[in-house]
Amino acid sequence: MSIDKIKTSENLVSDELLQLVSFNIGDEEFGVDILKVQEINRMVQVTRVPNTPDYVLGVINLRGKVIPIIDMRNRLGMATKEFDKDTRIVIVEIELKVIGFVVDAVSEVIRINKSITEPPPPMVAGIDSEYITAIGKLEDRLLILLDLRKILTEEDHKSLGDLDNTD
Amino acid sequence: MSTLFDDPEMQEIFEGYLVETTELIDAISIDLMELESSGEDLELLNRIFRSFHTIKGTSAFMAFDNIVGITHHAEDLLNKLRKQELFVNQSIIDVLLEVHDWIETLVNNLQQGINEKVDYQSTIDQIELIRKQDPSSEISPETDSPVPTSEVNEDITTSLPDPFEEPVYGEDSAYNKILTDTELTTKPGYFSDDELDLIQSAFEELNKNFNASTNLDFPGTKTDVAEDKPANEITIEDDIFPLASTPEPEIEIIPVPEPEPVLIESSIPEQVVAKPVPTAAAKPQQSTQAGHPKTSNETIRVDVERVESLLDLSGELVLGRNRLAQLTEALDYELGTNTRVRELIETTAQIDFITSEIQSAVMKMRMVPISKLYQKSPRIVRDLSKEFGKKINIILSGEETEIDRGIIEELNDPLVHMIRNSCDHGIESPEERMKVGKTAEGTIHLDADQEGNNIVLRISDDGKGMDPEKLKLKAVEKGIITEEQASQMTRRDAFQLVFLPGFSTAVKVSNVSGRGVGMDVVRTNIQKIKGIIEIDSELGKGTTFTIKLPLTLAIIQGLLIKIGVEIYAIPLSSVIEIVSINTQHVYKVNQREVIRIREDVMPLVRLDKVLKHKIIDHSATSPYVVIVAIGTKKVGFVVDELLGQQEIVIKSLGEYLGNIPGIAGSTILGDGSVIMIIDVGELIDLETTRRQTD
Repeated sequence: MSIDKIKTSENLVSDELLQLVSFNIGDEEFGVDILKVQEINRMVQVTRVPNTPDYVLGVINLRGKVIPIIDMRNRLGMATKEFDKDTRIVIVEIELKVIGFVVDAVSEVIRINKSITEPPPPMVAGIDSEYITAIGKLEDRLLILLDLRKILTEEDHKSLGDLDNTD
Repeated sequence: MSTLFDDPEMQEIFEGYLVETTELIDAISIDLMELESSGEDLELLNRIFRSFHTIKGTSAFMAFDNIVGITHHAEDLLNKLRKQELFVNQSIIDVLLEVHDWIETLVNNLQQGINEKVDYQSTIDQIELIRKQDPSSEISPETDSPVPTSEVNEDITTSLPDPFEEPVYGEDSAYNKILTDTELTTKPGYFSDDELDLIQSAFEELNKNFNASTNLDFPGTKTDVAEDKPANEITIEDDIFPLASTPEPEIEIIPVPEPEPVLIESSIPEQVVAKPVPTAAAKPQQSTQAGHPKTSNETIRVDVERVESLLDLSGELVLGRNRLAQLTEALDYELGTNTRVRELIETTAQIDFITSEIQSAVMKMRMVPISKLYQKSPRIVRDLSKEFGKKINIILSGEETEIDRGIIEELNDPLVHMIRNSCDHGIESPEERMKVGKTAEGTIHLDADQEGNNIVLRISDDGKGMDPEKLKLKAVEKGIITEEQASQMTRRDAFQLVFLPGFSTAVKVSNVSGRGVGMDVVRTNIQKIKGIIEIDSELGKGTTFTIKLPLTLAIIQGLLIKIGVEIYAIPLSSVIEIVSINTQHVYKVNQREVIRIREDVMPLVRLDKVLKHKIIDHSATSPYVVIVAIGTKKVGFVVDELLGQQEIVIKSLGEYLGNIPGIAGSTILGDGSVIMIIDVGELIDLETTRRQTD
């Protein structure tokens, strides 16, 4: 993409603020729209559901409702890691479906100006760029803005299945 | 919904109108069927009249003139019937059913936002034709009066037998009240329909009381009373008020009871005098309400979603209660004898009780009597028997059996189809029946009953039955099964053949059945609601379809089992028995494990393999086999541990996970943990394909 184009889009949205919940998986820091996030919980007992894709950890009981839980590491094709005291379940609502996903840790709620975001490069941290809406350039680090709708509601892709096998 | 009204308030009224009218239409259909079989029944006629009347009234209010127009004619006709100027016959029932159908069509149209005229002129012409057959047709309901009201009153009281010297009807009795009220509020010589209803029911009550009094038997007066009675009736019927006609005096048919020792003479006047007053007072009020039988039936309409969310909330309440109980226990342990803790324990116990009550009450809210399902069947049978030129009678029983409303909805179509099937294939023509020594009239019996945790619905006919050999032959002919398969088939399996797609035994393709679609749809629909359908038939004697259904789709009895560390629930309805595994009885057939239990040999399913349990270790453990059955298929599930039986609320896994093969849903246990419920049927299929690919 040419520099000119980025500049125009920057100008159009420069005063728009994004409120994000940021979380970590491995060394990467991710951000999702705060309006999509319902709550953030500590890790609880997850019941495995047989005959589901690997990235589906199972289901939990969220105050009487049965909610599916996705392992974000697995979904993004990263190596599995033991859950620890920092592990969190982020409950989101997407297209009226309530889904939880497991992340290594939740760090903070941040506000960034849309002007400091950039469209994603083809590959970031081994994640297929189609799940990434943008890259936020913070002062000292980069924030990957995830497209939850694509990650959580779209059919599994062949490429992801291949990644799973390499683990 | 319709867009007939822009004003939300009017729209709301309209929706209420739709619901009420639909219920009345259904009621009319049922009542008309009853009228057809019972013949003259004044009460029934009144009820039908009132239903039409209510429809007319509300439709007029809503300005649905099309409905008003045709209803008005039906009302006129019914009025004549009520006055016994006409008598119920086939053509009258036919035309009234036709009116019913028109109203139904019109209301359905309204529901879709169409308020258009339909051409029901021919029906109206027919009504007029029938009305004209009446010799006294010049007397229309409006010209019946004036009624010499005081005379009526006098006449009745004076003609009462001697012991009743005191006035039977006090000044303020409802009977008098009606008369005076009507006198005051209406122009002389005119009664509105509602007032006619009131007066009429008062007369009915009077007649009943006369009958009651004449039936009171005591030595000496019996014959006097009996002689007086017909005289009373004649006076009422002929001279004063033709509307108050009743069926034949009941004196002949009611057996006169033997005198009871208590009924000594002195007690009689009070008893008899006391009786008519309260009943007469109560009756007119009742009958005004009866004009809207369903709406005033102490029910309210609630959005299903609200009930569902209430069910969810009550589930959460159970979890909260459990936690509370645990905390109380811990406190009790830590603090020892403490009065505050005692109080807390008591309160917790109370909450515990109330929570259970709430939960069962919410569950019950979802239940509706199965009569809702029956409603349309008499009409279907009637129409079909006419079409086929057969004589078919339908008997309904077990109407009060309650079942989850979700199931009722799913059962509607299968039931209609099975009734059609019985009418078409089951019941023979009257000639055929006579030939084999049966009565000309065939019978279809619908019966519902609760058996344990199941609702059992039976549809039986006394028709020609089915020949299993013929079914097999047909199936082979159609290439559905091979001859070898056919020879191995049991009687029961052969009957199940009719549920296969493309199977139809009807020689002739008729309007309703014989295309080979239907019975397979019936079975699919029933399986969808976790039901089982079976057929039993005896050649020449008849066929019975038995449908076994879960009580509710939301709650089931589950057998909790453990495989490795995971707990699963198996619906108890499909569990036949549980046995300890005895390695000596496990064989390998075609390299597949089977178990022999008594005479039965059935495949063994290692649940850990099918459910892809991570830790596969069942060499020594897994001491139990749960025998499950779906239809006639039996399979043994190998499990590690049996945890017991429990009532479980089925929770869907949600749209995201969708339909998972082998899993029917999930449930939350008392400790808050989620477990999976095994879908036995799917799991068997899954295992079959797994074995094939192995």
